Amino acid sequence: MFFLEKDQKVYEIRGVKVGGQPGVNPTVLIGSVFYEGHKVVIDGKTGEFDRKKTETLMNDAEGLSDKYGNPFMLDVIGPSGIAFEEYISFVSEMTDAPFLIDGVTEEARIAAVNYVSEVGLHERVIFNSINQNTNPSEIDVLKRSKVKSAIIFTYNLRNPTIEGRLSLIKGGTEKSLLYVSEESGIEKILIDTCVLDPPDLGPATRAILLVKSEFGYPAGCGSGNAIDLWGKLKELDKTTCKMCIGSGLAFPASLGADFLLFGPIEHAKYVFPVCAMFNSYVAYAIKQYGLKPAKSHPLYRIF
Amino acid sequence: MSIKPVKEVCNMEEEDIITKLNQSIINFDVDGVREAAKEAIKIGVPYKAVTEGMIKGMEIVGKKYEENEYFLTELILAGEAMQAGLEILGPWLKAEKVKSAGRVVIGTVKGDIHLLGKNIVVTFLKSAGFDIYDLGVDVPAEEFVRKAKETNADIIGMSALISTSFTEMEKVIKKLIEADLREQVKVIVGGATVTEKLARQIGADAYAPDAITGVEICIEWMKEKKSRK
Repeated sequence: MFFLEKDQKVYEIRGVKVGGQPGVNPTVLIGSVFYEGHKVVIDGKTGEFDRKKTETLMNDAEGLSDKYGNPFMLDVIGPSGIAFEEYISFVSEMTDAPFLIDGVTEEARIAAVNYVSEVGLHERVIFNSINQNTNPSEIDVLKRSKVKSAIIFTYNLRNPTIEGRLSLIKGGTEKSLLYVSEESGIEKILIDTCVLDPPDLGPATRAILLVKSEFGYPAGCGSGNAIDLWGKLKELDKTTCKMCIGSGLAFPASLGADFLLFGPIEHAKYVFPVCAMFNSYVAYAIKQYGLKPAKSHPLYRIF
Repeated sequence: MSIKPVKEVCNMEEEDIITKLNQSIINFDVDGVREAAKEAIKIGVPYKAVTEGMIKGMEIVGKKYEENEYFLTELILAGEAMQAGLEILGPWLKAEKVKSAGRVVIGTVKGDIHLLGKNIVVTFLKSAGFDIYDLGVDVPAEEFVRKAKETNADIIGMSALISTSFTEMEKVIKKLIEADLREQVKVIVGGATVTEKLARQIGADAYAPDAITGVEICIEWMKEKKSRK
């Protein structure tokens, strides 16, 4: 049912395994902090934020990770180099979890890459992201840095279909993003199949399965986008709304997503239990093909 | 004795060409658009091909978007098909001296590099007959004003996804006032975190919650401007 013929790459990033045959390693759940409009942020320019509240949010998410068995990572969003230093310094002290550096501008991303290389945090970091708009200047900085893990974001400006996303990985008239990543010195490549709007979670999920089938790289998407942009969600009653958030955020896990950027870290409480449940169904199915889910898998915890 | 020009062989009738353009836009058929556009040139109806064929097609695409039949992916694909047609028909339109619907200077403000929403608005404005001066992303306030002055723009459109960019939008408006251009240039703002309230606070003339509404507002402004003349 879920077994893929193509050999699957599995990367270990600071003790967290990502990738592999669907059902073996649980989906890595990645929550965003310091995002646009995040209540913990006091001053986005200077990087001033409410440390106590941020710590509580991170602890809550890590608690859910321990409970359900899905590894947790943070997507640290920074508008500037100064803010990034503040955020990264705090996050790296408060948690052992790997984290993504998700800069709003090229300048911010470059500053973050240089900072983590300088302070020796590069092994814990995943650069988010290499994409069609990545400038040569950014590639140069990555090449010279110690950062070795990155996400390829398959947003195709002119053809955002499933086929268009895959074409960015394959290459053609333009350099493939796999080539660009390798050229940047990236050794651990994760592929984000790009969610444009609420219904696009379907095509993005289909693309995850195709990426894994064809290329074998760990693949996932930003399911949080589908929920954050879903305007009519607010029209639903509270219970229905929460059900939709949880199942929408975790949906790609039912088809083997290796990682999910589930949006605001506050959504951890919705995504963890549902994702653990979807992962467990897949894991139990693949056992019948002779594959063995990882020891930490939600399958052994939730039923 | 005069020599009559040899009429090029045309495989399609005018009505078929218009229908094909219309349908090809709706179905994102880039090859179909190119083929019909070339036929339109052969029989000398490039303007009609744009207005009756492609623009009408884009209007249907916009309607389908409003009715949740199409989403962002379809908008982008239709925009690409439109662009393919304009690349062929564009030079012929200039020859016909088609009157512009208006001049719009557009860009994502300084500090912000998001371009998806802005690009969709650009596509729809082009399809509605506007002359577009797309400044791209991370555009300084001075550049918006300089371009507006240079092109005698009717409208400035600004996009931003991050709230720190709002001050940049405000800066553009202030610089327009300083340059004594505010009276003649309307300002419209949009982007995921922009709101009606914020647009009012920074002194913009309008806020567009989506691309279609943005274009409708621009069309309305140009109608008002022309009726005043």
